[in-house]
Amino acid sequence: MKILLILEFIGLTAAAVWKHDWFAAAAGVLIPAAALVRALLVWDKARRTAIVDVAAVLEGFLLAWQLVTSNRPLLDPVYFPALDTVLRQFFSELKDMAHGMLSSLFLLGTAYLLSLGTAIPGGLLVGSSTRLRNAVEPFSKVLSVIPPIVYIPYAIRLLPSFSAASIFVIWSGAFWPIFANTVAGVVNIPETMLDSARMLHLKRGTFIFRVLLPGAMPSILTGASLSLVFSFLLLTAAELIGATEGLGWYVKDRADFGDYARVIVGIIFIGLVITAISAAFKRIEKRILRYKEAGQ
Amino acid sequence: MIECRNLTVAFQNKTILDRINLTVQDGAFLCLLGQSGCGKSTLLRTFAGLLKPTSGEVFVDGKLVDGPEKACSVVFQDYSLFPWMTTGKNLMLALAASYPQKSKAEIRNLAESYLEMVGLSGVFNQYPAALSGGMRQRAAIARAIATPSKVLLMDEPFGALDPVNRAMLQDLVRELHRDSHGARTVVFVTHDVDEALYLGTEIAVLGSSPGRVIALEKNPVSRQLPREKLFENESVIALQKKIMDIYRSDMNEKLNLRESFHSGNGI
Repeated sequence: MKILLILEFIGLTAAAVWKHDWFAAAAGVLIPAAALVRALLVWDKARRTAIVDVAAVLEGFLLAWQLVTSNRPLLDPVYFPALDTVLRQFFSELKDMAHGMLSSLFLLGTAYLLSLGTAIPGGLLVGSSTRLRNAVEPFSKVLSVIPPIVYIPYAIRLLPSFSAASIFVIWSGAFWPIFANTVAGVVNIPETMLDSARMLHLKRGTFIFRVLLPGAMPSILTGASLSLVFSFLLLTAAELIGATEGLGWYVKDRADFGDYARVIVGIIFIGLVITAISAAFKRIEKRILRYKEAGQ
Repeated sequence: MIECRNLTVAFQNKTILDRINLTVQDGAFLCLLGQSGCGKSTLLRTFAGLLKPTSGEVFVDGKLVDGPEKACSVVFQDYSLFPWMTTGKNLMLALAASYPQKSKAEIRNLAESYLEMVGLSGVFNQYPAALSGGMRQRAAIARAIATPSKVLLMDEPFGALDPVNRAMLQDLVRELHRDSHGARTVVFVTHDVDEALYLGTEIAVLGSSPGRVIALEKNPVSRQLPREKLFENESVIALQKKIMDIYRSDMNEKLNLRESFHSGNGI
């Protein structure tokens, strides 16, 4: 892979410089350089190989893009803009996209926190009572399978603003996986563990926060990460419909103007933002469940 | 003192325990001996108040048991400690519930001293997953004796341990009971006759299907002899043989029952 990376590096840089595509040339140089520096900082051999491999795949993709879209374009340049154009736009659009991101993250964050704040207490309550669980289950079964997108027309009609409507839609999608997994988490706490908690005669609050909640936590986090993915999906879907700002709106708006370079820029940016949020989530999850790794 | 009168437990029309009458005196160490599935754990859970009997009642210190009993603490075979809390925090949780008026620093010191008492120092900040099975059971015992309850209920606590850890923990429990000078009553569930002979001052043998007390024996020498001398003692050997015989005849009865059941259903 090392040799392949070097060949791709030479190919991409030469092809880009030939066409005076300076952004593409810079990318051609920076990717292998960054991979090299990163690899040198890592001692583990397997990880070092992985870094080089990733760089080689990325460099190869960009090289193919450069070759297909530059010289004699094989594809329609309107829908498949040149690598250089997209990279250039990416940097000039960063400010606009960051603005859009803030607006999106506000909706996402509000809705997601709202679903955590309702689904976890609700799930703990329903999970700890068989009677309540039996009463609620038929309804949650039906409600949880309804795709939340179908609520959009109703939400827009009933709620005062677009933000409120999209928060509602995201909440209704993110709620169920967390709720269902919280209930399952409580139900799956070993009976012996609950018995040993009962024998400690804890106060109700202590029992909920020190036993029930952490006992269900692994399952809650599974639900929460599923919900996070749902939220992104619903957020962008909602923004495609009625927003005036935000990342999903950004992509739709540029597409309406036929500006496909910026559409691609927007898509890449959304990908990066979601990846960053997911990575942060994984870190938090690992931190909360660190007690599981204690034995290894 | 634990007293159960005509205690019957049934699940879905299957009788698990059938009219058990049993009294455990203060300071006794009672071993409940029986095959797996005979209902000995069920009996222990009714003592703890974790299980409501179908009929009959349990009294601890003259008080009717109705819900998790404050005078009892329990050690299970596993899952006694909460894996998401450090060992120290596990003890502190129990102590804080028992002594709400004590400050956090006092609770912490108490937790540390109880861990030390069972031979665990330096694991305060470790999660249970980082401890060996034997150490986890030590911590569970520390937590159980840290609460002011007089009765310690143990449900096959050493069933999952290797022989060396098992012997060491048996010694620990024996010592703790001896050092309490009659202040602590222990009910210990096991299916191991030798374990019962080593630990128990009294041994109750439970017969199976449905569970009932088929023998109640006083252990003549339990506390005077060390482990290596115990099985050289004639009265202990006699008791061992007696219990084994009772055990065996109960098992035979069960096997015969099953055979006749099969032949009854034959074509």
